[in-house]
Amino acid sequence: MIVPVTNMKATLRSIGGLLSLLAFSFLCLRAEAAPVSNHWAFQRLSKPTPPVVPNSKAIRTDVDRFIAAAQLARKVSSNPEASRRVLARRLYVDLIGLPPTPDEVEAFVKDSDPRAYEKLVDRLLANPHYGERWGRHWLDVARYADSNGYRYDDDQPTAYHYRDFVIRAFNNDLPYDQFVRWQLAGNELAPDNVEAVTATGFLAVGAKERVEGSPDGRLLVRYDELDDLVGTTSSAMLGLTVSCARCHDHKFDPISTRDYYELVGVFKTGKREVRDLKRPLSAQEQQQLASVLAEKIKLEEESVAWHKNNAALITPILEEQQAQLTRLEAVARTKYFAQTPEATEAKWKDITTRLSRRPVASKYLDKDDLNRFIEAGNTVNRLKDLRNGYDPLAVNAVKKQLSDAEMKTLRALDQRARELKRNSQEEHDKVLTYAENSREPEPSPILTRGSVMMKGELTQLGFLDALTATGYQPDLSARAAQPEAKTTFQRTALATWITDPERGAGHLLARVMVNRLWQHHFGQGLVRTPNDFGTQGDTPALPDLFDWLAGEFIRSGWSVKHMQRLLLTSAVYRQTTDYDEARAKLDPANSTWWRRGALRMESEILRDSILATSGTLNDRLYGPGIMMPIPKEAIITRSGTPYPTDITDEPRIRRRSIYAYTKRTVPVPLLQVFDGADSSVSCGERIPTTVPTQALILLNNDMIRARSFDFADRLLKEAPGSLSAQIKRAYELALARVALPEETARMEKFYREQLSLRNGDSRSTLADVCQVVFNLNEFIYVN
Amino acid sequence: MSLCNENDFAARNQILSRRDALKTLGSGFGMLALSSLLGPQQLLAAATAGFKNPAAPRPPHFAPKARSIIWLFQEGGPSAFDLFDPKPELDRFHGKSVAGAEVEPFFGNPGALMRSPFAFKQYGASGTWVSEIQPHVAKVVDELCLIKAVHCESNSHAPAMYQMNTGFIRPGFPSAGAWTTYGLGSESENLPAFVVMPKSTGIKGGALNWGAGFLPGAYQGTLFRAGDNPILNLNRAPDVSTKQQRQKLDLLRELNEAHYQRNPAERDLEARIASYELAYNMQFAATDAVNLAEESEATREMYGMNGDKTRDYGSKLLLARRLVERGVRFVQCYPDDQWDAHNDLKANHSTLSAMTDKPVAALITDLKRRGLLEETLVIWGGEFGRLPHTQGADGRDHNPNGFLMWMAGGGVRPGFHYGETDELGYKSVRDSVSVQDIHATILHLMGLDHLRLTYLHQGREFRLTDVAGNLIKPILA
Repeated sequence: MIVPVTNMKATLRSIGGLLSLLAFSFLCLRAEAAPVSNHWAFQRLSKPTPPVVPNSKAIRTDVDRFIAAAQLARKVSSNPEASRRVLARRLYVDLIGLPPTPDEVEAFVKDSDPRAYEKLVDRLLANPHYGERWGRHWLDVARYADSNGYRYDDDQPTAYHYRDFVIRAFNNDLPYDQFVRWQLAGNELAPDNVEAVTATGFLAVGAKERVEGSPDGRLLVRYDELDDLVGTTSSAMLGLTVSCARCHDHKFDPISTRDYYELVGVFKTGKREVRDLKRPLSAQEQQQLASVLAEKIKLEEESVAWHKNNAALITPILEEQQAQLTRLEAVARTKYFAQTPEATEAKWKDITTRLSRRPVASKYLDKDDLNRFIEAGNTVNRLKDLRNGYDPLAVNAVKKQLSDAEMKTLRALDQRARELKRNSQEEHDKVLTYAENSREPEPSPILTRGSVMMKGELTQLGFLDALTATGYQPDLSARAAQPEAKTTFQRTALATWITDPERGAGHLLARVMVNRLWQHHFGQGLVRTPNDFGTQGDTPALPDLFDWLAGEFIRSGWSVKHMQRLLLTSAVYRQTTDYDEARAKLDPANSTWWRRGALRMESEILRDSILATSGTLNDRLYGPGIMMPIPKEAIITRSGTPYPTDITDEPRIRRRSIYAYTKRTVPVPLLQVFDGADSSVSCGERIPTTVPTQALILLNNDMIRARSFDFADRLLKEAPGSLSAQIKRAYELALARVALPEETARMEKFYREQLSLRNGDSRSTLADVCQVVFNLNEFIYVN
Repeated sequence: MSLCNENDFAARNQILSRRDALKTLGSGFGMLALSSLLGPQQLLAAATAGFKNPAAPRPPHFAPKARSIIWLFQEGGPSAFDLFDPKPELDRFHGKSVAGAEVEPFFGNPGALMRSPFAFKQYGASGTWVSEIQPHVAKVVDELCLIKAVHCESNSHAPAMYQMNTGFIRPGFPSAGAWTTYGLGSESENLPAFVVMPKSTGIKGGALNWGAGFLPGAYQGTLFRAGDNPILNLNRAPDVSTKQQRQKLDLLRELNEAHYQRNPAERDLEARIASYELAYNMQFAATDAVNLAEESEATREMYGMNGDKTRDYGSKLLLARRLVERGVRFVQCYPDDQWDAHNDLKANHSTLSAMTDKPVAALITDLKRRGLLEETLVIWGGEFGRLPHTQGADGRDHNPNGFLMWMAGGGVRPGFHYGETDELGYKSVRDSVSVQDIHATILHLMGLDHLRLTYLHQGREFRLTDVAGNLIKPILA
């Protein structure tokens, strides 16, 4: 196929040039291949039955029967079951993302109940931290973040409700098909259900450019947003790359440009909307809110007092800046009347109300005066604000006159005030959603080569043909049943189609999710391209097992926890990570899962495990995102709302990492350097890499150092007797096992060497030991 | 031109066989990163050889002209016709509106045409016109290759920044630095392969400008600073001595090796053991690299280290030279202010020139006298240029339709000018060059074929140049 490069240049030469180039961004590169609608992933589910295999210890569930049959064919067999200690750490990290406590390990090791393992699985699935662990996996594919990205990277302080919805959905085992339907159309399906409406945040948390610039530029921004919706929905839910078809029929998969713009049309009538949902508060939240309010009142009193006490300081500055403003306004006024023939007082009055805006003021003030004017205006506003709470910038205005101690008090108050604001009921009720305001659909034309300037034929409601039964009509019965509702119900029709395994895309929806579950439990999916089930993706190594699992998922009522229980209680999950040369020769790719691989913790889980091990994890659930301290040198962006540089290390930030505020252009270094998900697009798989900067952060970062000291303090408290007792305790807490004698001896030797270098500072020396433990491969890789 | 060649089917088969190779090896991820560069045989060898540092040097596609890149990123959009490409017609039509012109400014209506507030003279054997505010660069102008008609696809900062850095106007794609180090690795084991020295107040679009996108995270840019804390977390805690750190690492290595013995199939464990040694060495190598005091006073003076305005960019560029000397592959340096002259272009461009002109000329001179210019590609340019019209009283708005970049060293033709914008400097009219063309050319000079440097992501082989990009042959030396 020929890419019309000359057309591109012509387009560019014609006006403005920006744009339609997207046309070219998505053209697929390779030769034309016949669409393959008989591709395995598009087929309805086959109905395999678990093979009959000889009974053995390796057969605990039907999953194991499929595995055993495949292994039989290759003459290999699984590893034996791992020890209880290994299983405990594996299950805790896998299911709740936190290491087990020594007591929990001991209780499990000593439990003589033959169902001890199953009981532990059930306990962990019921643990509220389970949702934090598994919700994070979904947030990766939902490209969740708390800001809009691009140039301004505006904050989205109400986005976190979607994150909390996801955590709760996993905790409550919300049936997966309902989970999907709510995210696409919760506001239509259950408009009075706060949880369902919150779920539509899925469509509102993507990256989005602030709309400015020319009309075509604005339209392009809008189509980029819609592309994000079509792309994320298809990647996250169906494992398909539909965005290719924005400019061109998909080269390999049977997805046409018409399919693409039909899907665009589904979302096009809607938009992002922050709604006041009066979300009911849990008892815990009510309690928190009460204490927040009490604190707020106290802080306000302190604020007023501070202001009073410092009036001598503030008033002259205020007056001086106020005078400056008055003077400059007069300068501007003179210039206005001098250079404007049609000048009137009324017009001038109108201008003065807008004079604080740079473009307006720049007409009447020279550059220096303009800067003075803006500076004075800011200072006045901030100092006035100071009466109502602590504004860090206002503090800047007076800081030269304040002592260090006063500054410190002020900063602490300021930080607290900001946090309180974020926790207030008002913020709490505002929820970022996706909604429509019209019954009439706003269909999209097909854009030739994706160019907003080349509008073609209008599309009608429809979905992906290759996944749709012949004669299927989009289900708009909800629209007919609710003649008053001001929404098109197109997203409801999409939700119905996408969850219908017989006539719509439900079979693929089930396959993709089952694969994600397998992927996270076993380290790699049965299909090793989790976000690409198209013809360019992987094919399942064990197709019968795969289809059976997808079928079982649907039969269970789309219960994620049912599937996890099934996988986790299978022998294939419970085996050791032992390696065996002979079997490796027979199945070198481990495609029959005869052994388990060690899995590296994701960045969030590594941080959470360090917090938990050091005994300083603040395990509060839910709530607004917590901004992590980020060194100033690492905040390299010019966003509209800057990332604060004065956040200190205190208990309130020691929350699970899923609550870390995700500013798209300001990654948290620890989370990023260990291959955290980029929230630009749906991320189906984090590729673990090993680089020296990871070692540097774990060796030298002050937060890691601080947690090492916390860990040392914990050891001193919990094992006060001797160094060997402390080392024993450290191994139990961090690695869920007993330290070997040679390990204890080596640690003790290190301790003695360090102690002399540290002139006998035993606490710091023990902290060094603790930091080594955090750096152990055994800590970060789970067997 | 057909961008799809007959070999596609073969290429597809190769992907499949590669994937089979991956399956056969049962190994994971680091391998995937290498897979696009290596055939199955090499891949097998790579996998069985155990740990490969993701930044380890890898052979180019063909003999490279340049070994390293120093990219002088001029954020904000410098104006071509106020620096290197005077337009006499602007003097003639100064103050006149252009009726019926299809002009698309970013903010509001374009004003009248505005002549350059700066005087121009011709310099060097090439007779290159240079504005009075670039007196130092004027002296090295015969080393530069001016590309005078570049265009990009957005007139908004962040998307244009993303495009110049990643090829795409949307966030989430690998940057040119990430692609280059993915393709070639680094010759420096003890320093990051891809280094970014940003503006202290931040870059529009932030970290995504040097991100790895869908490439493995190992290829993202590392922020680097002059001074005593060049890399985040590089320095030991104040209470930890070198000896203590060494003992800690020795203990760690012993325990990790014992653990690896118990888990011999897990190759990642070995990689991680090695990464600690690299980190330890990096503490010394980076500290050594930033030790600008080693430089002679004459050199420091030449870079402007003694001037208040030039000190920041001077240190960055001197540091950049020291990094490429040590084998760092890709260095990006942003001035500490931006060329975004919406108001008072004269003041803005004078300031930015005062900050950058002397250091930039010094870098070219210094590289040349050390014999490094031949193997170092220096790139200068912003994310777009500026309109010939006024904005407000005396500023200029964004212009993506025709702007100027220059390159020097590293296999480009010195003293050469390529491309032309119209008489007013509004848009490219001859030998127009896209961002993808720039990228294709940069990769080519580094010994990489932009068509072959690919990464399988979401069902297709992505490239830095996506589906476009032509090598700009005339500018090659």
